[in-house]
Amino acid sequence: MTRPRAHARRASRAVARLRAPFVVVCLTAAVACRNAAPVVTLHLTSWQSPEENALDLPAIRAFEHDHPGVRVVNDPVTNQAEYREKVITSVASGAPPDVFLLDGIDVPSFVDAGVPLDLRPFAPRVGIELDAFYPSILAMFARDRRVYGFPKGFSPMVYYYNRQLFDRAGIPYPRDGWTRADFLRTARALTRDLDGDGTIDQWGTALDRHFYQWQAHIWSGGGDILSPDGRRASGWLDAPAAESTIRFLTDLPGTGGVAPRPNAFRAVSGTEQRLFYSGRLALYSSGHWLIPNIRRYLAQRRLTLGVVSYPRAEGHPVRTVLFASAWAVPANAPHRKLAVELAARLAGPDAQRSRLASGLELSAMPAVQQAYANADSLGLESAFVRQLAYGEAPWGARIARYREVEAQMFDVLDRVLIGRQDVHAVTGDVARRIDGILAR
Amino acid sequence: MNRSRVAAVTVVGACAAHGLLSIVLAASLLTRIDLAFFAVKVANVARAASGHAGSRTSPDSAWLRQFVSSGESGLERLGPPVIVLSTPPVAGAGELGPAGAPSLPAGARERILSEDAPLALGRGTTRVVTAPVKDADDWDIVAAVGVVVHPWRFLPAFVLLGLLIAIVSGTAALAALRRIAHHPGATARALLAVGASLLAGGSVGQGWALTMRLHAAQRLSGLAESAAGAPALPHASALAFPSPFAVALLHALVAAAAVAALLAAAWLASARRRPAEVRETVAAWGFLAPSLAHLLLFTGGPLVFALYLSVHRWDLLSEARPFVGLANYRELWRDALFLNALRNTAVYSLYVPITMVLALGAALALDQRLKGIRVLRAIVFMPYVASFVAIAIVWQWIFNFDFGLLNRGLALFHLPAVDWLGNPRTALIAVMIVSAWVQLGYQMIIFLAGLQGIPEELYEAARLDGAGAWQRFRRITLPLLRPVSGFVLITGVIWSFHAFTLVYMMTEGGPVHATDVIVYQIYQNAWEFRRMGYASAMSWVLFALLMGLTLVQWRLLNRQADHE
Repeated sequence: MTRPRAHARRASRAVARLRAPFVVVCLTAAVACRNAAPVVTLHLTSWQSPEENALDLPAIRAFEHDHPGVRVVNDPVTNQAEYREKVITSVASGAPPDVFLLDGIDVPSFVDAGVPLDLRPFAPRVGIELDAFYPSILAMFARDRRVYGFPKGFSPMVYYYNRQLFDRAGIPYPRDGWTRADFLRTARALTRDLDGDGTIDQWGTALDRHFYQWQAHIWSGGGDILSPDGRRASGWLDAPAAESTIRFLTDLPGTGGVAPRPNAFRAVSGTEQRLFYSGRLALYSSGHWLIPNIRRYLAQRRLTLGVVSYPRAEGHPVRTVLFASAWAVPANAPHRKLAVELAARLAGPDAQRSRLASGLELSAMPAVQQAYANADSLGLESAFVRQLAYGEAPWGARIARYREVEAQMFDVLDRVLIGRQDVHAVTGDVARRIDGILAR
Repeated sequence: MNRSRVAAVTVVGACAAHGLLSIVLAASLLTRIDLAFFAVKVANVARAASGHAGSRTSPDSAWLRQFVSSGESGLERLGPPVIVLSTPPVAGAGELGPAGAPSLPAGARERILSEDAPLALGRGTTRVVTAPVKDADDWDIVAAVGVVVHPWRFLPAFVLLGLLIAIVSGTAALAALRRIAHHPGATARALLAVGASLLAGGSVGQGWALTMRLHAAQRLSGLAESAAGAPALPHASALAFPSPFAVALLHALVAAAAVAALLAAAWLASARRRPAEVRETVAAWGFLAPSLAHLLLFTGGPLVFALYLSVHRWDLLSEARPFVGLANYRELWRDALFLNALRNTAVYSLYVPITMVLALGAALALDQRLKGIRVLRAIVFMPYVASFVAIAIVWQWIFNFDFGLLNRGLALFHLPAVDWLGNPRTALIAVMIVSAWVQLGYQMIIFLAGLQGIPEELYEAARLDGAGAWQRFRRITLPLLRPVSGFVLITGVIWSFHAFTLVYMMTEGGPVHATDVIVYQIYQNAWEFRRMGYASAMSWVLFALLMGLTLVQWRLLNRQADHE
């Protein structure tokens, strides 16, 4: 019985000894908290990778330096689908981020729901000249003279070609404005069984069933999937121009034999990308976002690439699709002024210049992009800038129900390629389904 | 304490708790309704004042006061005192309006003049609702207006109502209990019904009164908005109108809890129950209570909310959420993709019985006392605890047409390669194979536990009677494993109907919708297409299907058990 009592006495003495320092610490903390400058926290979110976020740090630090008492917290979500879920739920729950990255294809549905703030009246206040952006990129985020985002960057869809494979085959490099006949001839010449074992080791091109990859093909074939007002697909998706493009595409891995079997599943497996990186694919369609993955090989000259437009059908002009994103501020942002200032800082020339180092996209400002292109020894950047002349906003930037429409487009290639169904029957059926979605 | 007393205490406690809960609920909802109402009004006045501010400089405090009290704003009708703040502060004008306004908390002034939203500050019975006045360009905050709100001023009526309900229903219930204890009969049941109805009716009535007040406040604020010409609804959740659905749900829960307590008291008072049984039942409910509360809150609540959403159209972002009745359900039966997903899900669930046979075989094989058997069991179990995403990626490679392990294996036997994930005929089978592989270990462990629960004596007796291995398995193992098999079958089928990650990662529903399953459709409609109402209708169809299937399985298993 004595030992526990002794322990208790020792414990109570220890507590008594600690009481005074504890009170001092508490009082100091209370005084410190009382004297601390009021801190406003701005929340910023995007789907940028950690590398891209690191490139934004100088702009954020400069903003914090200019606004004492303001702290910027960056909460990125790298997966774009999850990012969209996060933004939607935070807006729906009344606790939106102060600044968020707005995808061009979400503009109509977000604007219809009144999510982003019109930034045009504030642009002069925060030193943003709207004329400093490419007009076609800014237009993606504008409605009736209202501007819902300061463009961050963009990329046109292009065809990359492997110069080494062309050189080895003695084939001239393709040039912008080339035709589908040129494309097929080139792809056939570059599809080869290198070791003579009866299987193809090097492919001319590849077919990706994601619609964003073949939207430019439809346009460059003189067709479209929707009427100009975006209200129906019938009469457009099932029109001869669009159907001839679908036949042209599905023939590539089929009777054409110039493309490997397309990804059997919708999820990106990266098979075509790997073929391209390893020099077993000559022509590959993608955006500027391919560059960060291959930058190392380009610098080491293990891979030499060129960039060319999508091939066009005879008698039709080249067209391609532009994908862009912008910094936006929710209409119900609690610190609107600071949020607009932060968005402006992130979209300003310094931040755009800094971000170009990631290689993910082109700058939305011509002056910044041109200077970067002039310094590019590989010539890729100038080629990308040239594509802008053929570029148009995707359907996603024009209609609110684009995600539903896009989901139907998988069926077009799937049913023709895998289900061996007639092109006209498929396009007619899918067009009717899309009409139903757009009429809802 | 005898049973009658416990029952009486339960009744009094239930009625008192009901009264107290009603008062707290009413207080909190009235506060929210009133704060939201005033916030909308104040925000509109601030908007109107912003239009008059005219420049980027601070407006004259006197002008602002005049604007606020001129009748042009409508703010004065909310009653004094009115607060006017400006930046920088106007000397002599004072930061607060007429006498009687409460002093603002420390740091509140800076907050009011920096946040672009209506704010409710202060605690207790007095709140200050403020809204910023912006310059003509809607850029800088140059001032703020506010009113002092006493949101609890309607409370006394609700307190009286709650007390009245508690006293009357409590008296009726106590009288009923006395009769139940001594002369159970029709009168006792009638009295109990009166008590329960009063409690339930009281809650429903209170809910109705609050909902009416909510609608009136929303309507008035709506009128104020249209008068001001610019909607300025506060978005901060603390200042948003509570959802009428949430008000109704909360009161329904309170009523249900009170009625349940009354029924429990009646059961306690019943003379037919023995005290030991009473203690046992109370203890059992005590143990169940935490998980029951969790179930009600995190499963029951979302379930009811999903039902509400399924009869509305809602895109998550719009504030409009129009009632559409059964339109979402009607659309489902015309939606070819949903019907296809339903069919695919049914086919997909067939992997469950096949896996059960394999798992039982594995359990029999691993139910040995051998060296390293635990390691073997762990290896079989491992896929179940591995990341589904990693599993999906690995199996994508195994199924790859050109260089996948499976096709290499087929080539060894001179069999043609199969495009496992690219062919609509094989894609679903491929996903089922992966699911079976994942579930095998889990089902094996359950069967193993079942096998080890069978008494060894039964097998010894069977051996003495000359029964062979097959007969022992058929006559002893299988019948005694029936409860385990039932559990595995029911949970397996439920799990199979919830298939999502593997489909999402491996096929995204393709090719040609061959692997589209219901949960993938729900995800796509809810998050990609933002059709929350439609996705909720799908969820309810899935719920009804699973409930029906589980009941059928349950009955069949019980019937077989009865026969044996």
